[in-house]
Amino acid sequence: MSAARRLARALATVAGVLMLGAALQELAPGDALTDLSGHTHLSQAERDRLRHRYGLDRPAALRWGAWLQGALRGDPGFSIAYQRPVGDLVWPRWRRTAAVGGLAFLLAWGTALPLAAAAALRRGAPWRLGLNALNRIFLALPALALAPLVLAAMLVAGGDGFGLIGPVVVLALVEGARALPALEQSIQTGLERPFVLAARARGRGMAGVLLGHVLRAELPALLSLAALAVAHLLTGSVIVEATFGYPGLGSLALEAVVARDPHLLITTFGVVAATVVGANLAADSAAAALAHAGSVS
Amino acid sequence: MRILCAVAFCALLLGAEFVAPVGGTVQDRVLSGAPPSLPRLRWSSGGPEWVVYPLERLGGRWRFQSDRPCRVSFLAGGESYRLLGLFETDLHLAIAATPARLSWLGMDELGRDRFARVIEGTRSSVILSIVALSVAVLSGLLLGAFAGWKGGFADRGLTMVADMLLALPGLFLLLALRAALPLLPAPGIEPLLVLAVLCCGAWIPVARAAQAQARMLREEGFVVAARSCGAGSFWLLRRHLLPGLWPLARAQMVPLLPALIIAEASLAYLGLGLREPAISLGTLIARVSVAHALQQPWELAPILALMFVLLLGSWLVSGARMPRPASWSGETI
Repeated sequence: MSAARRLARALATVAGVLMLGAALQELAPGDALTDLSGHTHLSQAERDRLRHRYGLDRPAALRWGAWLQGALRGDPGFSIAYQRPVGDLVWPRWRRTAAVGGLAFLLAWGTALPLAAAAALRRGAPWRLGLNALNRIFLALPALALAPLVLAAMLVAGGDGFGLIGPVVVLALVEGARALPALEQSIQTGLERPFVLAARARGRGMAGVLLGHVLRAELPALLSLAALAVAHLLTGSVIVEATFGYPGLGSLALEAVVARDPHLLITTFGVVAATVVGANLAADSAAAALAHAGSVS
Repeated sequence: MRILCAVAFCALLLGAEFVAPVGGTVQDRVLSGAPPSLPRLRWSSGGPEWVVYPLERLGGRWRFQSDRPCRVSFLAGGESYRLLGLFETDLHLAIAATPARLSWLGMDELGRDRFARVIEGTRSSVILSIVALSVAVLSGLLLGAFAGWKGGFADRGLTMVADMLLALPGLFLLLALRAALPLLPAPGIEPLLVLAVLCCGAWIPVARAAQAQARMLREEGFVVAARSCGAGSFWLLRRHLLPGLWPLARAQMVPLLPALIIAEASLAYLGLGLREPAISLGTLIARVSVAHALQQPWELAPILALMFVLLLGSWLVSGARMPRPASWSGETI
């Protein structure tokens, strides 16, 4: 697939998600003002007045058309729950989640890659059994189970303003457990390639073979695994941010769903979809570029 | 061995009311937050017997009244319940004489038996996930097979829809679907809403795989031969397409079931799935008070139950003769 086609497809997917977000919200009974939690004293007339003010009484096509027009100009509407422009909310939150996710990714892959390489090289070693068992246990501990455990451990260790540490540790453990078997498989495949065997037969050291041949050959597979990790880290961030009270994109999406905040909801989900699709696009393009470079040289 | 364990686990879940001393929704406010009271072996005039000491609260601390041993009777009558929702009975596996209460994992802050709640929560999570899995696999297979078999517009359309839905990572997709449903549903329809959300999120990978398989089968020699012999589409579907799809469906279920269990628990944990008074692993984990985890380790029971279910599932599946995916836990959701 050419680069232009890939980009067009990614944009169409994000547009589809936006349409889905709008359609799902139209399906929902009521709107942001039907059950405003804690505002039960609002009279019907007052609700209708507010509805008119936020433009919720206009036809759906007009509302979403106006939102799209604004979003394309860089102003994705107004949040009723937060009483602030959505743009001011989403970007700082995106950066926070990206910081946690990025750190967790570095921690997880920084640990899992050497472990996977060592495991792929020493398939019969006794410590492999222990590693496998540990991996299985952590695979059975989703973010939902790990987050309270890590929170408990941190409370025991003392201190409450841990900021990034708790969310990063949980996400890194979840992602590391998920990535380890896949990475090991990938490195194993790489080690069995003919040119790797040839390089080893010529007396190239193990470290040189791993870095120079295996990783280079497996780079496309590793890139698509990393793109998958983005989606997984985002999923985990919802649970982790809710548990640790960390203000990121996951908790924002949750708040938008609970508050039935139309602009905030569609923008958050659009940004999440764009992040995932963007990561996949980057991985695909990089893999294509690598294949191209390989075929030229 | 594996099948025996699976049967034992199912029996434990289905017979939760029998195994636990009381039901998970029965409250005893006096005992709110009580630690476990386990049976102890004691020598009396008639030989050894199991006893439980009643608990009392003195100055904010729980104390066993060791001067008032209460006998534990096995297979005795207690609070009545309906086994499997059918048979009215009051038989319990083990129950202590009043005023003592046998409790394996203590009481929660509302004085409900934690052991009973963990088993019943696991049961509702597992049952919801299995029902969602069957519906999702069935609908995914049918949709995917239809699209792949027909080709053309249906094929491209399904690919596009699946691409779009997969652009939202797991939990975000479920949250988006949840946004289309009433926020505070009536208690009766709550499980149905959760089922709907889970099914809508889970059919996609199955449909994709079925689509690819059907597309491939359509071009197979034996299918072309059957068609040239005048086989109708129903015959083709029944004799050639569905047998080819069944192994695929089985392989798809392997990573999907734990993903659904985690998804159901996550929704309940976030307050958007089953809610109190319904019990699910998610609502139980949400109530775990982590601040006291060191002094009261039994607080962590729901987390261990989730872990146990996932481990047991992966162990049960690892024996089955089917391709094992690289990561068993949560490939899609």
